[in-house]
Amino acid sequence: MPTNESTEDAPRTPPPASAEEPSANGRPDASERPDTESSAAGGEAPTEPAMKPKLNINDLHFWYGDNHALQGITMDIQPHKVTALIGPSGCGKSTLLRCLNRMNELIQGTTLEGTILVDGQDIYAENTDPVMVRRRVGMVFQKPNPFPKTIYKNVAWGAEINGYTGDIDALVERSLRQAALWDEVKDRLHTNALDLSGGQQQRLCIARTLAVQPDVVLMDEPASALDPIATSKVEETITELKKDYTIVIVTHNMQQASRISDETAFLYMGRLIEMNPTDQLFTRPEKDRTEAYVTGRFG
Amino acid sequence: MPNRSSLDQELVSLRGLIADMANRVDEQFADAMNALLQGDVELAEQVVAGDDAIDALELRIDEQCERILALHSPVAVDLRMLIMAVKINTDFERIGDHCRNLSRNARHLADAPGLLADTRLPKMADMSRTMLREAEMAFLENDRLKARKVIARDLQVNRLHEETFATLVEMCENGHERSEIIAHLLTVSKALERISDHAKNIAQSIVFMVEGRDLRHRGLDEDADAPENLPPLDASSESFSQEP
Repeated sequence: MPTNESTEDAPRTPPPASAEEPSANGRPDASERPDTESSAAGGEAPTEPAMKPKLNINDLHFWYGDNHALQGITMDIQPHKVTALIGPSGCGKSTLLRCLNRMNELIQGTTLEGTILVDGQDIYAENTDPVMVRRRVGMVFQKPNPFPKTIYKNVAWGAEINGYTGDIDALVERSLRQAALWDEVKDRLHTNALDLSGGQQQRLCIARTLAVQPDVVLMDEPASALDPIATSKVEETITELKKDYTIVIVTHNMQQASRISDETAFLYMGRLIEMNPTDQLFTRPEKDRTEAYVTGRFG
Repeated sequence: MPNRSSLDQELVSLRGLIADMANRVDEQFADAMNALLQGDVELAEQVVAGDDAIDALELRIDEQCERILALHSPVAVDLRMLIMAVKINTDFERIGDHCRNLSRNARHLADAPGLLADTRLPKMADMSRTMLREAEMAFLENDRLKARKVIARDLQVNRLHEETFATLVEMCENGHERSEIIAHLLTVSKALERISDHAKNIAQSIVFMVEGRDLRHRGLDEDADAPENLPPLDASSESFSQEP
């Protein structure tokens, strides 16, 4: 287990000044670049400060047994934005994602400290029902995993068991349209979902998640098992979905993160190193470690 | 995730090409000024002919940049390096064009030896060449401070151009018998002023690559790192001016 010291990144500084440099003016970056520690901790820098965050993560620690997987993560996730979590394998990004809808507590021997608020409500409070949390914060997994049932049943099922009393046909159509799948399946709704292509299956899983009418959709590498064309369809879908939902996506594909996300958080060894608007993080990262990672110099 | 070792190789090769470009342009500049000062028409013709090689190198560098952008999708400092490379490539090529244009005046100035040396043009040429060389060094060493000095020097060259322009116009107004030659000296002055502008552009691109800050279209007073007091002009190994 690494020490805290090794994961702390020095603020990015320009190369050292030579002797004749008039140093009275100080570092060029000191006044303009916000200190990441404070921007990550306070969440005030990256986006419009007026917007109330959808999710508020405060000093989150998580352990798998003795393994301290998340070490004091503090970040705000803005509504109607796509937030990408990036970082090398084992950095804690998937663990963080699964904390956001209490999926991790299904694993034995785990411990969580800190708070996660969704619209100001503590999802780990004693009186909060985890099932309700997962209804509000839906999840799409890496591999498409439709039920071996019809397309229609896949989408309708979650709503039905949740006691949905509205028009199920309309809900199925709306969910499939939002997932950009309707036009491709509207004439075969009652055929087996497993006959769909991989990309269609993944969009069906997105539709299934949306049918439960969540506010937040978590996606764990949703396109990593797909070919480029299916990937691009899923990416377009994600971009469309942010009108109605708040999206948090874990991805190993940094080009995907840069294409579809508004905010990017870089995690390393269980810590949040930098969170910034995506265009900034991929052009002028604040931290040397972020730059080294996004340019492929380590990781 | 970029394939680091292959991207590094491509970047090293790109930097090599740009260094070659900078060297050739610097040589062209020295030859062009010597041709003018010594009335050496043959040397001037060599400079004109040598511009083709610079044009060819410009295309090669652009192709290499396009390749890297397409194949490696660079980000952050690597992306800024590529953006810088494309821009300074154009600046070097334009300096090459100005050297060619300078040389085209040689035949005319050869008829009036000494007239050029009596102006402040050799001094301007010294300053512009120093800027070009320091810009080249700043590129090779990723030295943002050296780059900033180049940017600051451009003002000095602009001032000399204005002075020279006024002096030459005054000579015309006073009925100088070689007004055609004075017209050629005006084009020389303008070319030197443009060369220093391109050297400044190169230096600004280098600051952009190193720091991610865009210094274009800003006064030096808006740049917190601008050198306040420039050291005296370094003597070039080959000085065009006769001043002590």
